[in-house]
Amino acid sequence: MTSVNKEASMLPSTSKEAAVYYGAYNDLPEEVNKYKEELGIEKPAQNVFVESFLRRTVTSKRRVDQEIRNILSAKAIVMDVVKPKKVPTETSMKQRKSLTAKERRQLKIYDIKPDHQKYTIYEPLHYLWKDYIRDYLQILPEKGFNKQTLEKLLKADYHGCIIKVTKSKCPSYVGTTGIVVQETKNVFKIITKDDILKTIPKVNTVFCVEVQSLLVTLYGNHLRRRASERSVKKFKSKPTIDL
Amino acid sequence: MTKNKKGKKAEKRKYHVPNREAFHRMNFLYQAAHSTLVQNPNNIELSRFYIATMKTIAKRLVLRIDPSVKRTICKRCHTLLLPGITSTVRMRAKRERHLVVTCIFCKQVKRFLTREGHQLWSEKPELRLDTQIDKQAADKGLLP
Repeated sequence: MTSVNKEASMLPSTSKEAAVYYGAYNDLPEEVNKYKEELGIEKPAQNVFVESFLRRTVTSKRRVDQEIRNILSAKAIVMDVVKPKKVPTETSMKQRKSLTAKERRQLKIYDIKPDHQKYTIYEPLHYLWKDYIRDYLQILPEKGFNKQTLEKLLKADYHGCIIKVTKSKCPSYVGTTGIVVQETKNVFKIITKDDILKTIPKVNTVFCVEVQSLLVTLYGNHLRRRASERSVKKFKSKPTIDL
Repeated sequence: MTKNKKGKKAEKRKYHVPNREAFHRMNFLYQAAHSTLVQNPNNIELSRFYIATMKTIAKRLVLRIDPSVKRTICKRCHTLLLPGITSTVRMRAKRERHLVVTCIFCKQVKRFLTREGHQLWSEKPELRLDTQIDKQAADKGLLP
């Protein structure tokens, strides 16, 4: 309202008034000031407009009052920098080519269905593993292990091997035997001979594995890595503290 | 004697592959994925898991998976793509003639151009390891 009136007053007028300069912040000319009340022009309370404008535009809701006080105390603030958060649109989700970890969990793409929890299905996997470990270690069973092969054994893959729990803090785990189907960071998932999928934590358990008619003891506490990370990690020899 | 020793060393060098153990493991995992899928074509979850571990090993050690293997893996859900079982394979004549492999589960598409005389980068004979090693050995005068 006020600004419009000001504009009108600033229009280039007749030759008589041409000499008077009307700036944007000048007081209104007297002719207008006379009919102030009729025209409904009133000097607005200081900063009312600015404040209401700021209330509308300042994005951070938490501290609006403080923000406004800051702005009104004439500190320089760059308004452009405030960027709205990017919300993933449907098209951008479609363009993404790999599943996110969350989606993977929701879809359960790694969980074995109950119909496939059968010992007989995984027997061939065990034979495959036997061949693999023989090729991998390349040892003669009569001679036993040396230090290098033991190190190698730590980096080997255990999917498909028959594993037995020999010691554990939880006594109900002791004695369970089965084929390792999945290995995660903290857990071995094994399938026992009576077709049950059992999840056995690595912490505080000692496993026994048969490698080429030799028995190997694995300390679960030392194997607590993701299966894929184990081949990268360098192992240090640790004194094993028994359970 | 010396000649014999040299020969042995050359032989050893010839078979030395960096990250041999990791490759061995990846090979095993790939085979395990195949074997589980062959045992029961519905048991995709486990084969997926093996492929995913294989891929993470490769990622961690920065090893390149050969295209012949890579092309049988769905890059979206890590399914092993077997034609007719877990994927459909179609020829398309539109645009340029190409092969389309679609993963049945996540519908992710792989397209391969069927250009005549196309050679993969990894199949170039001068890049192969054995030819390289032979060349090195020949340069050093180890091989006749």
